[in-house]
Amino acid sequence: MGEKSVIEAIREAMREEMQRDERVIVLGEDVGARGGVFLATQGFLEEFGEARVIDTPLAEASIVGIAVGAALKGLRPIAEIQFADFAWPAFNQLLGEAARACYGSFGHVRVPLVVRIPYGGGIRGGLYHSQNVEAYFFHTPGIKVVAPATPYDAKGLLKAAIRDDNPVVFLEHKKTYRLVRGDVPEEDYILPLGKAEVKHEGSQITVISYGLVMHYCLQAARKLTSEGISVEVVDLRTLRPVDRETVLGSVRKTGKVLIVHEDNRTGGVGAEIAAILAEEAFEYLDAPIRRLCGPDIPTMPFAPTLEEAYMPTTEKIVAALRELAAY
Amino acid sequence: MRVTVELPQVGESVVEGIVARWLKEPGELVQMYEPVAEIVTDKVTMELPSPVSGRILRFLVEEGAKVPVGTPLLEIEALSGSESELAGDQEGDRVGRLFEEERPVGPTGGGALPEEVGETAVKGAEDKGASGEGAAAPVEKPWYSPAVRRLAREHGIDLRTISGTGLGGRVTKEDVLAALAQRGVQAEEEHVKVTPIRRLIAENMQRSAREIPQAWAMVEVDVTGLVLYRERIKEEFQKREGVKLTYLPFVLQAVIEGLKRHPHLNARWAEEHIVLRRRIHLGIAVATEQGLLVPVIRDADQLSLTGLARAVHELTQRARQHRLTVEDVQGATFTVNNTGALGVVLSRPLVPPGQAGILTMEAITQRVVISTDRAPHALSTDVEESLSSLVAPTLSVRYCMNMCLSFDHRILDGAEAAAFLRTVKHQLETVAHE
Repeated sequence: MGEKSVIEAIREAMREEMQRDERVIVLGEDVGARGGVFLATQGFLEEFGEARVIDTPLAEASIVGIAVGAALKGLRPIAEIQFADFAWPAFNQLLGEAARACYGSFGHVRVPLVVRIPYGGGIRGGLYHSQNVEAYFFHTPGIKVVAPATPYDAKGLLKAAIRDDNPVVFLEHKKTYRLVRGDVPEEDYILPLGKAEVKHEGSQITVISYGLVMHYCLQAARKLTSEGISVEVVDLRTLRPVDRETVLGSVRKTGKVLIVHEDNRTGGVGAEIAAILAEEAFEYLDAPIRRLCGPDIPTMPFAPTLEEAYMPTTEKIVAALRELAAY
Repeated sequence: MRVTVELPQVGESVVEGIVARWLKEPGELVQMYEPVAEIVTDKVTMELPSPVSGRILRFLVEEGAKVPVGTPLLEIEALSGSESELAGDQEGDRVGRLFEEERPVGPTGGGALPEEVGETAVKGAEDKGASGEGAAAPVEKPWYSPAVRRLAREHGIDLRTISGTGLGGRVTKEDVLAALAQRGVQAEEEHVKVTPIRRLIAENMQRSAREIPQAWAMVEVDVTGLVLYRERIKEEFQKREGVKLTYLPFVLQAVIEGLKRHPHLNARWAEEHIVLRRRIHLGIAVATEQGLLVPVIRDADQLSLTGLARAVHELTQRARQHRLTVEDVQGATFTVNNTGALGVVLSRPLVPPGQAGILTMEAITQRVVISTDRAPHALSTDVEESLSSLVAPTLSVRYCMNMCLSFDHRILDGAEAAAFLRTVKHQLETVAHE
């Protein structure tokens, strides 16, 4: 067990899986010679050779298209999209093809594909390097969507995603890459997809979140403990399929809920969670379901002040929780 | 036009009142002068008339709320003459459309929104917080969340018995759970809601016990003469005056004489000085089913026995019919409590704040008394006959009544209290001689 960053955990997961299973390959822009723009595949070219570590042209449709084809032919590709903001050209390959293969072939054809997508703001990335894209994939049956927040979860979930026989979109918040550090076991371990985790136990309010802002939720929960407000933080970890059991269990216990995500409010993951709670935990709600999300604006602003205004912060979460506690 | 109705100044010393009960619902039509609320001030209940004809928009305070004079209580959408007539007929549809034409109905219009749901929507729209749209809207009227309603249903709890600690007094899930935790105890107890009158009595008594250092004294009064006198004249009195002659007016007369001679009993403590009152307003404690009421006989010293009897009769009647006005219950300078009517022979009353004392008249009972003069009811035994020629003590059966005085020891001492009691006693023991 050693303390590692999220990017180190991801690198370790891929390396171990490539060592374990030679069908696992990586492909993407600059993943080879450069070792990836975030150095996720640093040293991979030297270790696994250019047949398994493939630098691609700057063309996301072909990266994912080739990966889908390779998966259909028996490999287990990990495709890297350099920034989530550039994922759009790959949508057709991912949503139109990969997501439908298993269903359309009555289960005969599987696409064991992982598409790693660094996403998220708060890093001065501006309009083209900050976007949250989870809602688009979250909406699509046939795709699993994973969004870990910690190094431990990132490694265990990425290994599970690589071993999954169907397409997984693996979302990595860029700001967590080097900001968040934590213990990661050296040995091989797998965390099941579709399982949320209660990261902080509490009795009065449930906060449901994922990714970077989940850490802000934890900070808020710890801060409010000293005020006598007991907050439970649920880290979804996998967005699709969402872990209804954990979410419902927590909210049935507390009766109040705040959903926090960086992605835009309308049609976001929080909207679906809110609907599930309204449908299945209505009689347990002691306050209106609240969401603290990024505002409905087309993309992350570049000006630091505006970016700050966009992002959910510990202070905003604390304020929202105080209001809920008083309700 | 929207009219806001405030808690009016209902009596010189009244600074606050309790909205005991709304007599109308939001959305209901009221005529001018029609009562809209029951207001409890001091120890009296009065009705608050509507200043206009119109439709009640919403209540601004909750039932049971204690508010200062001038507090906005409710809003009424006043109607002009023709609309008022239309509104008077029972066709809800037509009235509704009229309102719609005049002002937009809905979350921001507020025109004809009878439902509290509408109110919540209005608040929600205004309350967009920095971090959420219309989420934690304050609750103005009792509103129960799904969780609270479920818990109440599952455990058979009457939510009205729970006081809320949430936003705007909302009953929260935690409140219900706390009430449930209390249940083990509650199975053996019943929690009765405190009425506004009960609360006022409680506050007064608490103030009395907390602020006034009270001393106590009692005398035994031989009222044999009074009993016989009253027996003799009561039927004729009732026939002539139309009211029953009780012992109370006699006692009041005696007390008035006592207060005149001992003005420190007709006084109040004002820290820097003692305020002696020249006028005598007697408070009469009356037990009613809603609680103790103390109507006041103003300038009682100006009244004859008959006048006092009438005043007592009238005030007790009004008290029991809940028809007392604010003037009826304020300004007492001394209080008399007829505990004897309840069969009690000894009690220790609490001095009402703002007065120097309170005197009780306990039950009249026959007692064996040692007396030195021959009384009509003296025991007639041989021994007694033989001793009668001597001026010697005799045992006699007399009608006696205890009178208990609690007094503010800041204002007077035991000596003056005793002197007052002796005066009262003397007055009552010699009443038949007049």
